[in-house]
Amino acid sequence: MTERKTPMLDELEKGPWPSFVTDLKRAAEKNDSVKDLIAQLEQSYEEKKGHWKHGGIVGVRGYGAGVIGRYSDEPEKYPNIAEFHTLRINSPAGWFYDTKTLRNVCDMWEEHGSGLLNLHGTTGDIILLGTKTNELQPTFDAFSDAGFDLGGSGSGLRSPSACCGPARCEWACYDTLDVCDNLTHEYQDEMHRPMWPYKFKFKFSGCPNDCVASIARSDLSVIGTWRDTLRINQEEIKNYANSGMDIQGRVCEKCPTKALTFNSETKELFVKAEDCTRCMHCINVLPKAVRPGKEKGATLMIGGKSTILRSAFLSWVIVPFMPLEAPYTELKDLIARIWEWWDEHGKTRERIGELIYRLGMGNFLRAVDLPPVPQMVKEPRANPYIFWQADEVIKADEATK
Amino acid sequence: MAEDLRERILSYLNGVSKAKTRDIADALGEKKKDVDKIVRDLGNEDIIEFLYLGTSYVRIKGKED
Repeated sequence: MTERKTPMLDELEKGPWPSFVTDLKRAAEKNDSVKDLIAQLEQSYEEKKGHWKHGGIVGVRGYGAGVIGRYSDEPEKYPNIAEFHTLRINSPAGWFYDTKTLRNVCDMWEEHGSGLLNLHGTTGDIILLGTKTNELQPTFDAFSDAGFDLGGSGSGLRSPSACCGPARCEWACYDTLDVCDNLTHEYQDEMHRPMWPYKFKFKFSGCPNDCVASIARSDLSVIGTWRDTLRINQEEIKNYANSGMDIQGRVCEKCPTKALTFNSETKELFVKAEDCTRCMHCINVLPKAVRPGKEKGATLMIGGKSTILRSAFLSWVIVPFMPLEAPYTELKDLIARIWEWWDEHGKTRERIGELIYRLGMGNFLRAVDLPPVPQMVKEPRANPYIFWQADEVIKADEATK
Repeated sequence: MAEDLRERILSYLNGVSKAKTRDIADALGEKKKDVDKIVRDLGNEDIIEFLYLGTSYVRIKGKED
């Protein structure tokens, strides 16, 4: 095959950062489909137009998800990428692998596909980029024999994902890895047989730093928190102060609710527990001196998503605090009620956040049997707009009877 | 009962090019949960296939529009 010129892609190799173009050119030495991929991408850049056809029927036996059909719209010009399907492989919770496993993943994918990988996209999955239809089942079989399963796609549950949690992070307020693994196994049908109005995502963050960005990227965000109060080690506060740390300026004045006060004479830090919104700022700045409280669990939030029918939403608190202990019965019961309501009332391609927006948070809360509480606000200082129903109001004369 | 519903689902799917399980449940006057369960079994038996066109549909395997 004659090497095609790629002046626009070549531009992306200039500068100090690693370039995907360099990686593609290296992969093209071993795989003709990547050569065509580079050429089609150059054409897309020239024409400012994509050349992928998306969707259709591709999959493996018994699964309705995990394979995304991709076809070139110029198959005669790029025959090696006429079919260039993507497979999603469900990754381990917290994205922990050993090197032997990663080598095995690469070897299997070079045998069955383009060899191009995406670790880890916004789905959280391992994304295998580019194979032909007749290689789908053999690829699935190879990965399945190695202990992997397909991830979610289409109108079903997407692969749950979690931060590294207690495996590496001292701030984790619950075992993100265990919840993620438990729910992934529990909801195999919901993930692999897509039957809902549209997609649904869980993401588990161990603390309010929200390292997996669950608040923006998942329909049900589970974010670790604590119910009691920050633990402050005053000796360590003194050490920070003596080392020149500006605790008043860098910590107290940055506290969003001004819940912290610093006594510069005694070099002690105090928190007004009821004003603390658990934002993690003080802990991040003073990690040796300030810790989360002892009574740990998670805040549940609903409705995060990117733009689809409506604009992008951040998720909205529905349960300010829930202890999260295996087997997570309380969480699963709530999930069942949420899915039932959404599946019953959701329009095609309507995410749960959009349905709540359309029908109202009050209706949602009544349907899933959650009592309204003041923490249910979309953003700070917003009115929750939860109104009493007429039959819920006890009039003054009735109350005195 | 399940056998009867299975036959009715297959009959419905034979009459359309594709459908969401919600459409099947509404058309047959059945609970979606029951339809989902049978559709899942039909998928495992390779009788129906899933199709993604902006949202997910099911159809009889190999059936053209």
